[in-house]
Amino acid sequence: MTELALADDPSIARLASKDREALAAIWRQRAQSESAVGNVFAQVAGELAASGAPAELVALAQRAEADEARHAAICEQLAVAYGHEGPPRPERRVRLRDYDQPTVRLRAALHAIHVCCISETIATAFVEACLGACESTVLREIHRDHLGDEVQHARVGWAYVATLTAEERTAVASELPMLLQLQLDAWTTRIGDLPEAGVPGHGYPPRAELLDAVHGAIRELVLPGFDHVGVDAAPARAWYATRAR
Amino acid sequence: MSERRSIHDKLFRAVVVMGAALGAAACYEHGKSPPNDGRIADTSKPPPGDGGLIDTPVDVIAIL
Repeated sequence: MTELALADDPSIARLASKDREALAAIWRQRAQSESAVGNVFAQVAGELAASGAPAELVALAQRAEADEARHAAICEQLAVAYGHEGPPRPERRVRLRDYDQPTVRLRAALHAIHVCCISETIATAFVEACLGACESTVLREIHRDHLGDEVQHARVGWAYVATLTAEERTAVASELPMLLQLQLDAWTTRIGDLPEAGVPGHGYPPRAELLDAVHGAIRELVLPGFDHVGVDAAPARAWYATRAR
Repeated sequence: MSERRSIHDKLFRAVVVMGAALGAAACYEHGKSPPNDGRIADTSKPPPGDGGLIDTPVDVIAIL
């Protein structure tokens, strides 16, 4: 993807100004979010290394950090292509909060589950839904590359959970409802800020479709994923039953 | 089977099944069981790996 390719995209010129402005603001926000996720992958990589995780998994988390920086730069280019003016917002480094003094390995596990098993896994379905709403070749390429990266990022968490002991899997199971609630609330809130009808052809289907993608990912990827890796998902399922669409 | 369900099946295999297999293989190649490190995490300071920067703790990061 190049700035020139985006700037020349005729579908952008055909947009109504309100849609163009909305997309410029969305992509500027996405740039900041991608940058924050990069911070969290740096945190996860450090925690995985400290917990004695296999070097391959640490390397995957480090690569994810670099990927997120690249995504942030692409989102910034998209914001500019849709007409955003002004300098990027100043960055604020973030890290995920700790939970109840877990051990080194449980802290790594809970954060990897939070960002990879839940958030990045939901993101695969979200980006896939966005990919289906892309008209231009440039946008499709961006979303296809992004989807491929999200798959890799999500794998980090599932891979690490597969290395946990039976006792550790039991310990993380009780935290799943809390993590799932945080993620579902975050995704729902952010989708609520998007245009209700979406921006057809520009990577944003209607809100209802995006919410369906998020809930479908929880039902068909995240919860069965915990079953697959031997983590009891019953408490998370019970909580999710109160929020399912 | 709906198109959405079919896509989710592919994603499940690519993300969960492949990810879990990666973790299991990494443990096997290391020729040992997963480490059982029961040390209590020192959560009074940022974990190693972030260069000691003071970061803002957050509950959740929105990806989009």
